[in-house]
Amino acid sequence: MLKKITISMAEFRVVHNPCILESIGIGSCAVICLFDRKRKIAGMAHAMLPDSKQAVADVNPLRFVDKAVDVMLSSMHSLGCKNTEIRAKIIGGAEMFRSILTTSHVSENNIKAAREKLEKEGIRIVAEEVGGNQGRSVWFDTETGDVVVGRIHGPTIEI
Amino acid sequence: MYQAIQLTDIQKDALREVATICIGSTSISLSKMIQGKIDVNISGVHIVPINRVSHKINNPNELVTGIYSRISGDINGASLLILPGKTAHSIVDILNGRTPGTTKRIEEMGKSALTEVGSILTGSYLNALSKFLDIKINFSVPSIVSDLGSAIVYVVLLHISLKADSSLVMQTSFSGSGEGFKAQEKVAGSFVLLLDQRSMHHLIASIDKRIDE
Repeated sequence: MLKKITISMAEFRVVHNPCILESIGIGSCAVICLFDRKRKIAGMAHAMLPDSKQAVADVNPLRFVDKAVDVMLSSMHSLGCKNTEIRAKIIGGAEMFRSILTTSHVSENNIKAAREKLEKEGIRIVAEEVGGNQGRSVWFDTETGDVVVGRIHGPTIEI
Repeated sequence: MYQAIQLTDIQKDALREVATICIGSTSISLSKMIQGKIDVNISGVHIVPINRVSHKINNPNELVTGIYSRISGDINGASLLILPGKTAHSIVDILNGRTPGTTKRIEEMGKSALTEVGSILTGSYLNALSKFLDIKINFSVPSIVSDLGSAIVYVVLLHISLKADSSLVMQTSFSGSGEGFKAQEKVAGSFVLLLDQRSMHHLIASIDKRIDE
């Protein structure tokens, strides 16, 4: 059994050893999985909001997609990874309460922000499991790069 | 910018007391609805960083039904009534005059029944809070969703998360059963009040005023 490491909201982890990075209960949040197959280095971040420039108070920067990707990348760079060799998978961005106007664009914007940020960094997105109206849970096998996504009212799939 | 808040023991006790009074009012409404007996359990009061809120709620990794209202007025935040999957199903059955245990999945009819229940329970909690502390509280028509507890909490926290690094989490739980309930169909749930920094200050100031009286 591989060791499991749970990534909660506003957390990230970059690992070199084979393990399972998991994130349970992702609603409108975005989870970004990065994988360097050659070096077997993997990272996962769980962010809640799209853009750190929106913050009006001194809040934890890891809550934002752009900053979370930044810190994860700098940690991967320090281990010798190059952006051109990193592949990404994005999960989340569900619109759970459809009647709430104020949150209705956050889910969408989280995914948009993740795509834009990764494109800007020159990282290829190889899979996405986003949108819809159900929460998800993610398990990332850092040995193979496989990502398994589970939903409460639906099948568990591999992306 | 507001200072990070540290609650004193007296303030914590007072908040716990307030939460218990409010949930008491909620449980009376619920026991009338299901014509059964509801017990109120211990309340937890914490100030936690937003990313740790899901660690403080009951059932973060289980299927629950979340009934969410936005709170505005003198305090700003959200209330979340969390009903474990089975409880939500039992309540739908009771309201529809069926034997508890019939409903397996919540459909549109069930949703609208639960929204109604949520509205009444949220209303009784917040009215009690508003009266007891003499503060003005408005709340929105509840929205409802069934999913993992932690997924629901973070969506609910979204609108205070830009302005606050931590949130006040007041959680009270209840359990009970009613007529026609089998032992395994007990009703249980918890009510969580989440507030931003400014509201925490306001709430604590109102509590301090009550303590002084």
